[in-house]
Amino acid sequence: MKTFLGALILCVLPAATLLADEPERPASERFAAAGHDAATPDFQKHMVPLLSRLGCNGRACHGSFQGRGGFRLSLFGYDPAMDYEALTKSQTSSGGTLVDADEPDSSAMIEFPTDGDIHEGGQRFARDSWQHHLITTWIRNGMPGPAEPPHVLEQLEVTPAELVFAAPRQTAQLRVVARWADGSREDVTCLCRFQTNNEAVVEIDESGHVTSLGPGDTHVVAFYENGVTAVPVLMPVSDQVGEKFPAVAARTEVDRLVLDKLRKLGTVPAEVCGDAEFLRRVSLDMIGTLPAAAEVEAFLADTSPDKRQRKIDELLGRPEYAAWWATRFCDLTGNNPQQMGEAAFRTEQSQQWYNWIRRRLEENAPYDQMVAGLLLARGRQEGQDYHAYAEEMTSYVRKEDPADFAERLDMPHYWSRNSFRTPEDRVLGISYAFLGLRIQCAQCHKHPFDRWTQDDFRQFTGFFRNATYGVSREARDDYDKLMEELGLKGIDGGQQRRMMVQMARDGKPVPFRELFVTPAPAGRNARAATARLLGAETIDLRKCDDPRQPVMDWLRRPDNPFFARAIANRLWAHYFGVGIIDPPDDLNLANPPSNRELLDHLAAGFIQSGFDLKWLHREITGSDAYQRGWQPNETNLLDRRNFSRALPRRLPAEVAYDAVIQATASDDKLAKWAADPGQRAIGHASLAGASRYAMQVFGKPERTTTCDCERSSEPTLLQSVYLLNDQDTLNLISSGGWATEAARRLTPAARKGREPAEVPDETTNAVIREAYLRTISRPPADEELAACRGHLAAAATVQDGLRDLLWALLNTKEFVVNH
Amino acid sequence: MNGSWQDNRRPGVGRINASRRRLMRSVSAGALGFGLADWFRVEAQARRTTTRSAAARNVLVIYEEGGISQMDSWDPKPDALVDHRSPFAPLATSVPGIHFSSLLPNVARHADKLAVVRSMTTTRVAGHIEGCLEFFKGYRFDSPLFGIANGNFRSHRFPDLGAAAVEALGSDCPELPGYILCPGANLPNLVSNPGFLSAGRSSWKLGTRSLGENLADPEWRVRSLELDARVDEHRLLARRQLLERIDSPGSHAEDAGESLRRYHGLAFDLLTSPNVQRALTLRGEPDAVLERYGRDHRGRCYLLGRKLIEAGVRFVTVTVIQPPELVGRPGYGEPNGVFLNWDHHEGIYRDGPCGGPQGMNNQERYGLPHPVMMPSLDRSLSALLGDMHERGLLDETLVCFITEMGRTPRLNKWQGRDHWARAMSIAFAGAGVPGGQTIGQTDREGGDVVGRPYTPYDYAETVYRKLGIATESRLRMPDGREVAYTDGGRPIEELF
Repeated sequence: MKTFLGALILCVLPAATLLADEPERPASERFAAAGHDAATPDFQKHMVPLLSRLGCNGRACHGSFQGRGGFRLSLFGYDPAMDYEALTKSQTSSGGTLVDADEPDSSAMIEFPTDGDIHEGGQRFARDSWQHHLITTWIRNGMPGPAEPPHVLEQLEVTPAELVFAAPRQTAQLRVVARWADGSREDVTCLCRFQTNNEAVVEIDESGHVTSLGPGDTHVVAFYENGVTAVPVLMPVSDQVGEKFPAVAARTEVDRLVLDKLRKLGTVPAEVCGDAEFLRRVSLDMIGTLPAAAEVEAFLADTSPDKRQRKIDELLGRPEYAAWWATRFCDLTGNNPQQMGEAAFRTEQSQQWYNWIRRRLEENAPYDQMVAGLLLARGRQEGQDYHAYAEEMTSYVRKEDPADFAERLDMPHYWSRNSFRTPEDRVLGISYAFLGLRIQCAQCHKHPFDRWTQDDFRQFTGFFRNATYGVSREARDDYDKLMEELGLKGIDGGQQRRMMVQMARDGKPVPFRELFVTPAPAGRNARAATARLLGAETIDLRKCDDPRQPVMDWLRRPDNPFFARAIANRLWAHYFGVGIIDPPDDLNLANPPSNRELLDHLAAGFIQSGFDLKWLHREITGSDAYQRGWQPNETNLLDRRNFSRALPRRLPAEVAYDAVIQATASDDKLAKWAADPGQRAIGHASLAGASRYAMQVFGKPERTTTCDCERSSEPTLLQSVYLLNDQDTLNLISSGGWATEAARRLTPAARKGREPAEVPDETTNAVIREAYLRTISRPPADEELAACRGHLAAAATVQDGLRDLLWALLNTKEFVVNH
Repeated sequence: MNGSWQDNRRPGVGRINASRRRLMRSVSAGALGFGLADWFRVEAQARRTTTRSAAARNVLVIYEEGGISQMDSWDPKPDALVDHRSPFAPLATSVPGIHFSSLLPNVARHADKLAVVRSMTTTRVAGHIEGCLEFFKGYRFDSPLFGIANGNFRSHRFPDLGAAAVEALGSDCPELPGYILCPGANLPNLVSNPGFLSAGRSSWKLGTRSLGENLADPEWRVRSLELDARVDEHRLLARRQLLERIDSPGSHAEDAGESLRRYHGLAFDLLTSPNVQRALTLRGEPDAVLERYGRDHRGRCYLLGRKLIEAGVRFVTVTVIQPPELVGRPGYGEPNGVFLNWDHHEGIYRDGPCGGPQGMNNQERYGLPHPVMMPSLDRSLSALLGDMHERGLLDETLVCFITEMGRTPRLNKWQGRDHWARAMSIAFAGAGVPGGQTIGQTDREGGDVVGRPYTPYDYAETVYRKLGIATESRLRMPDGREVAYTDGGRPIEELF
């Protein structure tokens, strides 16, 4: 048994590095003394990292696009050539240069940052410090510029590889070694920037000195040049670690991996929750729908041991599964009718998009195939001429017997959006949706928290330049002819749209624009003819019929680090309220997973399954980890990232709105409503039919941005007001039907010549029980039953009493929260 | 105090400071006795210590939409070339030497309370959304700080002034949201939003319909707040008692549960507090008051704004866009048309509808010209200034009169004035603003600033400083970056 006497530091060094020679000593040692004839500092390896480390090229300082004090550096050092130019050519306000080759010590580059009185940015380093000597040595030795070709940083090795603390105020020192492609290695600790990902757990100072502050787990991150390395830090929250950890059975592989982490942390997981709680949770999460009262009764009565697994399978087969997840995938892919390319058929095309995805989910098409249907879409199918295309597109919107768009093999509307026309927009949208990356920073400068450079961004756009939504040259004549024939030429836009809609409704083929792909330019323009996958190889686009194809091939590759992980992590975040990487749309090197093995397991299994989304749903929801209660214990009260218990979450907008309708509806209405989830807010109706106000109040995303945060899950005052007193809610309570129906059961018809019979207690109890099951999906406890009975007895009429009861149940926290 | 408005915020977002950080540590250190209530208390203390003494407790922004002509309001230009000149002569105000447009005779009598900035400028291309963003956010609309998506700048990701002010200061009126748009219905979320702050910082828009919001309609109500005829107060109380008995206390331990509990309490306050109900309705207002402000939509918006300030709301923005059916003139303002605003690209000085050679659609679009709409503004604004002065509300309330841009110094071929952001005028009153002054000046035509230029970012800085917010501190974005309160704004010195 181990006792913790100070920091237990695990040094996990790759064997290769142990054998290698000691790395070059850090610059802080080599330049400690003035006049030391150490080797000349390298511009890329030393000068730029030093400027970053000192904060000179930060956004608030000389990295600002306007520069500061007439001196501008590239933001976070994304452009060494520009920085070199700036350092060697910039003039100071007095007309001198920044560097003084004759008297390096009097250079403005030394004078300003060492003197807080004259430098607006304060003193950045002291005179006669190693930083001072490094800079003057560089000046003295002829100010060599950036190496050409640039050095390539192979790896940033950080030791120790993991930090485990036993108590607050323990310390450790990180050591960072850069390994370059030429095999050379150097200790660059003094040139790194460091950050802590949780300032309540650990702090790290600018020299890489780490101090534990409190229990929990997080990462500290080292940044140098293009390298980002995160080091896990952990301090147990209780003494129940390792062997002292209580015996908790690991039912599934997911459980084993979650428990491995909890055991290190001393976080004891909550018990597995009760059946009613499980049913409600999994129904709301998986199919966006409350369980019906009868369904709860049946589930509680079922005594078979595998009933939860069977329920999961059953739900995955329900139409609501496809309806709800199609909505979520429409969020992700940006199905926004305002952006549709064909203004005349905005709503229809948005609906087609939704239907297409829903069909894929109904059929459980492999995820990679679904994505390929979006990414490789073209307007016309193989061998189809323009006229046949126009006929086909019209057939989906004609009034009589419209054709089924979901039958199409691909879904071109993804590319027809106005917000998806430039290669840059496409890179942002595709990276966000399918890679879980926020790469926008790299559009203008090096990504400050990841390895992506502007060049990576630019190179990736190359794949997306050749798909166009419009009229192809080859179809131009047919298009014009059709326009002419239909009398659509030369009339103003609004009128033209109205006519097109009318003709299309009548089944007359109208001209649609199309998504077409042109081959990459051959010959002289060779640079435009290649493109580079993110973090992977360069592709010769001239060898591809469709330059988008190599991207799809790359996504499907088992070694793709993003594609499977992004979706596995998003589904996990959907079910747990927090991702293994969180936020789930921010996979970057400085934001590592809280449980890497767990995410690896899910991603590998998902690929293994043939990108079977239902496999992922089953693997996640079938675990004890998902089925734990939300009630915290002393060790897991503050856990929000290691899945030791369920985190109560407010219902998403569509689910909340549908739940109010379902809870208040008559049985008849429920049956009709259940038959077609497409009419519900969780289906596509949410974009048009459902109460816009409710959607806005509960934060349904408008699908205008590429951010998971567009969907709000926070409670707000207006949501409470909506449920308490909005006309939507009050009308449903009084006219939804259930209260009236149930009142009839509690008001026996008066028989001729007799007093109406007393209503038996069991009937009243049964009605109250049903109200509970309809709303919060569990039977009432005895004291709740008594409170409700008391209220019903005191109400003016039975119907009033029941409405009050529904109202109260809809306004419990239990109702609007998934727990 | 637990249960007040400002409490809903996520750790790690918004301003952080040392005591908060200490607290986060102690919470995460497993000091289980330390509940959320204590958290909020410490947070409230922290907030007080980071602000300096404030001249303003509240801010009332009057935002007239569409872009008012500076020459026809605060900055008359009698010496402009005759072709460009407004037909409305300057008018001497109650302050010797200061002239407003003769379209503002009543406001002119309150010149002693007003500080008019005639030298507002931004060098950017003027558009409604762009101008509105700059005044609402205090950032250039194309600030690269917030990223570019789909080719568009993302300055809307910065919180509205009102949202940031409530984030920093909380509210003195726990029953009501700290930031209210009155009615704000037609402002797209792109323009008015809490940015990177939590959804709980969203402005509360009293209006919910993007078209057709009409406060002059006797049936106008704030949505969801009217007690239903079917549920009288007695029954609501019975309902609440039932709810309290059956609502499980369990999930209080959770953040979500805790916020829900607080919002429930607040929601009941909204529904049942006589103070709140009084502040949110104009029924029962004395005739004299209604008459003074004007019985049209504008007058009622201004009056409701004053009432919300009186109730203690931290930041109220009155947004005025006139419903067309109110105007009662035939030939324009169809029920589905665009509402009347100040965007007079055509026929700006006509006596009837603006519409001209550009056709019926445009006639509808540009609505009523300046001289037809201005008397309503003149009456409402002068009533507001007089009333607030008499009630002593100007002592601690900063009143800002803004519009998103100015208009071109020359008339276009349709006799209208187009968008112009190189020079515009805004005005301030209250909260220690020295009245009876004009600040800065424009050239002979009113098209360019020739002295003491100020920007919308300076306006924002001024508002924050008046509220006592320490703008040298930074707001923290969810990705950990820290940003300044304004886009390099400097306070408008003459207002302090």
